[in-house]
Amino acid sequence: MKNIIKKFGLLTLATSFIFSCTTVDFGDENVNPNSPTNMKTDALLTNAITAIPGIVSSPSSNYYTQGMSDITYTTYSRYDRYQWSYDGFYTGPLTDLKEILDLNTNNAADVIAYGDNNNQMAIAHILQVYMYHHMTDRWGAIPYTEALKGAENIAPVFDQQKDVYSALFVQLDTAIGLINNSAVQVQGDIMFNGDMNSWKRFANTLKMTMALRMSDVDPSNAQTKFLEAVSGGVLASTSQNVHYPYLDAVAHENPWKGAFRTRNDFAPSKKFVDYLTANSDPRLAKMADGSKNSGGVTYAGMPYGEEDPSINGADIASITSAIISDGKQHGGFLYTYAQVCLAMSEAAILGWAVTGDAQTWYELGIKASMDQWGVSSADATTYIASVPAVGSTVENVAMQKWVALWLQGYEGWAEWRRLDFPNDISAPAAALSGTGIPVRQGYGANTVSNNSANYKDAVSKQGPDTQDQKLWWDTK
Amino acid sequence: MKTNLFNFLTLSFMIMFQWSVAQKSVSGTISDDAGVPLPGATVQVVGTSNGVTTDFDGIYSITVSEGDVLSVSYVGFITQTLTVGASASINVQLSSDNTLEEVVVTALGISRDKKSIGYSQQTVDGEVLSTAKETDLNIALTGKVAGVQMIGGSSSTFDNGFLRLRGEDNVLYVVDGIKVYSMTDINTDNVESISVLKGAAATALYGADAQSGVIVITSKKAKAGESFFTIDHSTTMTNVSILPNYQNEYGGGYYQSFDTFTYNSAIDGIELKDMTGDLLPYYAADESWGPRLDGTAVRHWDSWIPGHPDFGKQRGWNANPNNVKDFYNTGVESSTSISFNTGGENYGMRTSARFVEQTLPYPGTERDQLDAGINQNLKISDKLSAYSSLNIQLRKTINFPEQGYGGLGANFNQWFQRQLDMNRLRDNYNYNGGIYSWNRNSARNPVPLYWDAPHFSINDNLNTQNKEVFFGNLGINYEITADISANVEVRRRSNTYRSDSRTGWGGVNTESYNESRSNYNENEFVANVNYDKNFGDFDVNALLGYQVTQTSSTSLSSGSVGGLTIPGFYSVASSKDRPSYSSTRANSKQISTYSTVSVGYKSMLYLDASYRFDWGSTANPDDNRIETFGLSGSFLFDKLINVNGISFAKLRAGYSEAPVFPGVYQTSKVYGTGTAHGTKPRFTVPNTLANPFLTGGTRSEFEVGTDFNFLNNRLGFELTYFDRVDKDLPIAIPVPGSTGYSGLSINSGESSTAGLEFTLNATPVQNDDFRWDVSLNLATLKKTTDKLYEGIDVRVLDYMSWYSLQLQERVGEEWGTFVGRKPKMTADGTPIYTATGRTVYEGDQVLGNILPDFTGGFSTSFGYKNWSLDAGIDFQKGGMFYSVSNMFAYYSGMHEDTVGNNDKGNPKRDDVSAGGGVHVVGVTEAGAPVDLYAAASSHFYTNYFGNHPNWLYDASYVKLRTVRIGYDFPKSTLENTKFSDINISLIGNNLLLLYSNIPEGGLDPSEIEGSGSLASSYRSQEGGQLPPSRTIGLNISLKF
Repeated sequence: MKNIIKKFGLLTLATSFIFSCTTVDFGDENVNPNSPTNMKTDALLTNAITAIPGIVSSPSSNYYTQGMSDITYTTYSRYDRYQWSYDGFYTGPLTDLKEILDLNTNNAADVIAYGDNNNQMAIAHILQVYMYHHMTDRWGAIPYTEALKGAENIAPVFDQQKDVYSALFVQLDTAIGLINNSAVQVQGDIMFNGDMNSWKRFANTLKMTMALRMSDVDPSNAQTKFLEAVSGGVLASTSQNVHYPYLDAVAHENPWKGAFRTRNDFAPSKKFVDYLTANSDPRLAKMADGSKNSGGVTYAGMPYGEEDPSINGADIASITSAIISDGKQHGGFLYTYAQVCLAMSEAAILGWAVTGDAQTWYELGIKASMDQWGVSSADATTYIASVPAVGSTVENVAMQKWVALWLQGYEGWAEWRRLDFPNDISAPAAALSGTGIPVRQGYGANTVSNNSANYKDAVSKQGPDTQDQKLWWDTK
Repeated sequence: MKTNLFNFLTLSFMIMFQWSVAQKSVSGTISDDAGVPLPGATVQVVGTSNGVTTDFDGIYSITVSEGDVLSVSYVGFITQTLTVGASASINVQLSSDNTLEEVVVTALGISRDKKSIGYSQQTVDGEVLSTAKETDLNIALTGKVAGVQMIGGSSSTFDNGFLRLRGEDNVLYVVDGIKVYSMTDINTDNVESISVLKGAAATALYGADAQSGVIVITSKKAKAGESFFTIDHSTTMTNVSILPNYQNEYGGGYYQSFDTFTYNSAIDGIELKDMTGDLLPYYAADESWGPRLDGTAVRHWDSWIPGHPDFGKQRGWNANPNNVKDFYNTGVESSTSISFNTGGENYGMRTSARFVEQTLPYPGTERDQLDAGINQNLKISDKLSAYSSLNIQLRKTINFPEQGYGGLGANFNQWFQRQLDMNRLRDNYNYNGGIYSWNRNSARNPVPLYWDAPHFSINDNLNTQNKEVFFGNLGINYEITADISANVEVRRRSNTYRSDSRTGWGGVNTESYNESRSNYNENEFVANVNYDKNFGDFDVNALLGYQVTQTSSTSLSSGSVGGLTIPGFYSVASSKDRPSYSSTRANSKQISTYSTVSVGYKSMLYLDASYRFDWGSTANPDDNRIETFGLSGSFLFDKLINVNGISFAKLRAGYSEAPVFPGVYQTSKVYGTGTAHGTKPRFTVPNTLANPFLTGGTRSEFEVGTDFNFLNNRLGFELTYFDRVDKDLPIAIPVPGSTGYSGLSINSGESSTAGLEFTLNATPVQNDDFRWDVSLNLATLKKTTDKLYEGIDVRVLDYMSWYSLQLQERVGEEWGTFVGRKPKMTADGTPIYTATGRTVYEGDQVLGNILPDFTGGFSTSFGYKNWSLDAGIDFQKGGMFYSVSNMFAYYSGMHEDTVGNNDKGNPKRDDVSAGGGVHVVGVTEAGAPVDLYAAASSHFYTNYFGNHPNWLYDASYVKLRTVRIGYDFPKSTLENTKFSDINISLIGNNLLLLYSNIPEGGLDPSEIEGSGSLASSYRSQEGGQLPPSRTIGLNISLKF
C-alpha cells in the first residue's frame, strides 16, 4: 500500500511539473534552412529588372495599334479580354525596389558592398518611375502614395493619373539628383552594368517621354519638363538604344521566341504590310519574312480582327526570324534614338524651344529607325528622299512613329492614343467587348473585389471602368 | 452356471430399472423475452458434460434426473439456472443482456465498450475490404460510414482520391498507433477493423494532428491456440465504361473545304511533283469544324512520311467513331497474398506478404507493389510482455496517366480531329527515326503545332516512380499491480519517393529530363501509465501519457533547362542551359503530455474527460503550448424505460476544444529566389508577408447523439448532430496587390459547420438458411464562413481560367460559392444577344455552391447457405463542378450536339446562306428583337465558351460501386483435405453509374480530378477527365 502511495505521489509530482511548463525551447528547429535572409540588394535589383520583358516584349500589347494580327485564334485581337491585373508589378518588382530603398536607408552599411548607396537608390527610383509610368498609361488611376505599405495599409487609395504624373516627375528628379560618380560600382545591374551615365540618359529619356504625353492636356508643363529632360541629356545615337538583355537560356529568353516555339499565332497585319509596301519602305524586309508557301518572296499581311479568318498561316508574312530564333537585338527595346528624334521633331512642330528644326529631326528619326532594323545607308537615304516633308501638323511624324515603334507595343499604343494617327483604323466588326479600339485597360478582378471601396471611388472620378474610357492625357 | 446367469440378468435388470426410474427426458422451448424461440441455445446440466442445444424451433430434449440443476444460456442473454422438478416439460424465457458487449477501438488504440462511448464512432470490419479485393482503403470505405465522403480518384488512373470527414480533408490514418504518411502505405489485406473517429471529442487525445478526424486501423494479429496459413489470389480486368458523346459527321479543320497542294519547284523535292491538286486536310487544326466525312480521297497526315509505303497515297475522308475507345486497353490486376498466423498462450505471430501487378486501361502504365509485414507479441513473464511490428512497402509505378487539361483525356475529348484512325496513329508516329504527329504544321512542315501523337506521349514521355515505405513499432507492457500497468513504445515511419520524368525528342515540347527524390520521416517515443479499477457501482479507467515526436522531410529535385545535348541520352548532366535545382528541408518537433479519465456508473452512465498539452517547434517560441480537451458522456436508458422490443438505447453528448500549430517556417521572414540571369542571382520579397505571431487557430465542437437497437439488434439506428466553430484560423487574407503583397497570414478567420448523421442497420430476414442484412447511412452538413478580416468579405479559394470563374468564401454565406458570369436575360427570361446573335454576359454573379446537400451509402448482403451476395451503393445529392471537357467539346466541334439539323431541317453546320446555322431568338440590350441563324462554328464558341452556368454541373450521383458473389466450400467437403476454408468469389468494382445529372453526358461526377494534373482539394473543376472504368474479376482464398 505504501508503495502504491509512493508511486502515485511521484507520478503526481512529475505530472504537475510537466503541466506547469508553459513553453519549451526548441532551439533552431524552426529556422528556415531553405531560403536566404542576407540582404543582397544586387540580387533584388536583378530580379526587379527581370520584370521588364513583360512591359517591352508582350505580344498581346501589339494589337491595339493593329501592327500585328492573329492568324487562327482571333479572340485576342478582338478584345476578348478587358480586365487586366497590375498586381504582379506591385508584389514583384516594385516591392523589391522598395526593399532596396529601405535597406539603403536603414541598413546602409550592410549593403554598401553592392554599390554606392545613393546610386543604388537612384536606380531603384528610376525603375519604380518607369514601371509606375507604364502602369498609369495602361489603367489611369492607380495606387501610388499609399501603395506598398503591406499590413499598414491593406486598402490603398487610388491616385488620379494627373497626380501620379506630378508625383513621378518629383521622384524622377530626386533620382537624377542622387546619381553621382562614385567608384563603388552598383552590382546586379543587368541593364547597364553599373554605368550611371547610362542611367542618367535613361532617366532623362523617360522624363522626356512622360513630358511629351502631356502635350495635349497640359502643354506648358509638358514643354518645361521636356526641355529639362533634353538639357539633362537623352539618348544621342542608335548605339545608345536601350534593349533588354535577353539570354539564350530559356528562363531569360525573349518572350517572342517562346511564343513562336510551339505556336504560330501572330503575324504582321495587312494594314502594316500594305503601308510599308505602298511606300517601298526598306524596313519591311528587315522586320518581316515573306510567307513560307511563297518561299519567302511574297509579303502578305494578316487582315486584322476577322471572326473566322480561314487563312493558312503559311501564306502570311511572319515576324523576322532574327527575333523568333534569337531576340537579343530586336523585339525588346525600352527606348530608341528613333523615338527621341521623332519626339524632338514633334516638339519643334509644336513650337517648343528645342534646337534644330522639325525636318532635320524627322529625317534623323527615320534614319535611326532604319539603322535600328539593319537597313543599309543607301536604302535609307533613298527612302528618306522619297518621303514628303514633315509639314506643320503632327500627322507625318505620327505615322513614322507608328512604324518606328513596331513591336514596342505599349509605347506605340500610348503614342497612337495621343497623336491619333493612323486615323483609319477602327475596332473590328467582330469585336467581343467595348465600342472602339481600347484606350485603356480595365482593372483586374482582384482589384475590384479586394479593394472595392477605393476602386469605386477612383472610377467615380476617372470615369467608368471600361476600355473605352479615355485617360487624362488622352484629350482628343 | 445357470444360476450365475440368472443372478446377473436380475441384477442388470434391477440396475436398468433403477436407472430408468432416475433418468427422465425433459424437453421444452427456450425463447427470448418476446417469446421468439432461440435456436442454438445451450441447455446443460451444471457440473457435467451433459448438454444439448436447441433446434431451429428453439426446442430441446435432454435426459436428466430429478434434482439436477440445468443452466440455460444464449449469447446476449442472461444465463438462467433452474432445478429439474417432476414435470417433463420445462420452457424457459431468457431476458436479454442489454449491455452490448461490442468492443471498439478509440483514440490511441484504447479499446472501449461501444456502449460506454459518448461520441460518434463507427466501425468497419476488415471483411469489407476483402469483399471487393479493393486495394484502396478510401474506395473501400466509401458509402459505409455516415459523414465520410470519398472525393475524386479517377478509376482509370492510380489516383486514390481522398476522404472528407465532416467536410474536412486532412484525415489522419493510424495503423496500430503509428501515424502513417499516406493512406496508400496501408496493406488492406492486413486490416482487421477500421474505427472511424469523426468528431473532435473522439480525437482529442491525438492532439492537433487529428483535428479533422482519425481513421484508426487495427491490423490482424494471431490469436492464441490457432495456427494457419492463408493464400489469396485475385485477378481482375478493367475496361473503360463511359466515353463522351462524340460527333462523327465532320472531320478536323476550321472550315469545311479542303486546301489543295500546289507543287512549287523552288522549295519542293522532286517526289512531290505529281501531287498538285491533292486535297489537304488542315493538319494544324486541333478542332473538328472541318469538311464532312463523306469518303473524299484526301492526303491524310501519314501520307507525308518520307520512305513510308503510304507516302503520297490518298485515302478516304471517313469517320472512325471508335478511335478513342481503341486507344484504351483492358487493364489487368493480379494480386497474390499469403499469411501465416500462429499463436499460443504466451505468444502470437503473424506474417504476411502481398504482391500486386497492375496495368490500367491507359496504355503504357504499370504498377508493381510488394507489401510485407510481421507482427508479434510475447509474454516474457507474469507481468512483462513485449510486442513489435514492421511493415514494408516497395512500389514501382511506370507512367502515371496525366489527368486534367493538357493530358490525353483533354486531347481526345476537347482538341482532336474526329476522323483520325487510332491504329494508324499508333503504327506511324515513329517511322525511320522520325516523329510524326497528326497535328503537323502543314503538308511541308512535319513539326507538330499543338499536340503530339498520343502514342508519342505514352511511349516517349515516360515517368517512373519508386516508393519505399517502412513503418513499425516496438513496445513493452508492464503490470505494476493488478490495477496499474505501464507501456513504453517507440515508433518510426519513413517514406521515400524517387521519381524521374522525361520528354522525348521530336515532340511539341523541348526534350527534357527531371529527377527528384524526397523523404518523409517521423520518429515517436511514447510512455503511458494505465489505471483500471472497479469501486462498487463505479468503473474507473485512467490514462496518463507522455510523447515526443520528431518529424523531418527533405526533398531534392533537378531538371534540364533548354533541352538536352546528347540525342537519346536523358540526364540532367547533359542539359543545354544551367539545370534547375531545388532542395527543401523541413524539421519540426513536438512534445506532449495527455491524460484521460473515464468513469462508469452501474453500466448505465459514463463520463469521459481527456486533456492534452502539446509544445511545438513551429509556433512562436514565446508561446508554443496548446491545450486540447474533450468531454463526453453517455447515458444508457433502455433499462429505465423497459419497453418491449427496445434492446438498447443510449443518449450521448460531447464537447471538445482543439487548437492547431501553424505550418512549419511560417513565422520567419526570408527572401525567395529565382533563376539567375547569367551569373547574377535573383532575390525577391515573397508575396505573402510572414507573421511572427501566427498561431494555428482553434476548433471547438459540440456533439449530441442517440443510438437505438430494437428486436434483439435486428434493427438499429444512430443519429448524431454536431456543431463546430473554428476561430482564429490562419489564413492568407487576400489583400489588393497594390499593397505589395498578395496575401497576409493573419489569425482572423472564423467558420462554423453544423451537420447531421444517420445510420440504420437492419436484418429483415434471418433464419437457418437465409439471412439478409441492410445498412444505410446519410449525412448532411452546412459550413458557413463567419468572418475573414475587417473590411474583407470575400476570399478567392480557387481561380479557374475561363473568363474568371472563381470559387469563393463569402462572409455570411455557405462556404464554397461559385462566382462567374451569366448570360443576360430580360425580366421575363428572354435571352439577350448582340445584334449578331452573340450572348451578352454579366459578370460577378453567384452561380451555386460546391458542397453537396447530403451524401450517403447503402449496402446489403444476402447469405443463403454457402452462398453470399454483397452489394454497395454510394450517392450524393447536390454540389457542383465545372466541366472543361464538355465546354471545349462544344468549342471544338467534337460533341454530337454540334451536328444534326436545325429547325429548318437543314444541317446546322451548313452555311447560313444555304439554310444552315443555329437559330438564335432573343432581344438586344436595347430591346430590339433578334431572330437569325448563326454560323455553327462561331455560335458554339461565342454562346458557350465561358458560359459558366451551362457548364457548372450538378454533382449528384448514385453509383453501384461494389458487388460480390461468393461461395464458401462446405465444411463437409473440406473435411478430408488440408484446407479449413476455401472461398471463391466473383467481384466487381465501380460497376455502374446509376444516376447522374449531366445533360451533355460523358462524365462521371464522382471522379472529378481537380484542376490540371495537380489534385486540387476543392475538386471544383474537371479539366480533362480520363474515362471512368469498370473492374470485374475472380478471387479465390484458401485457409489451411
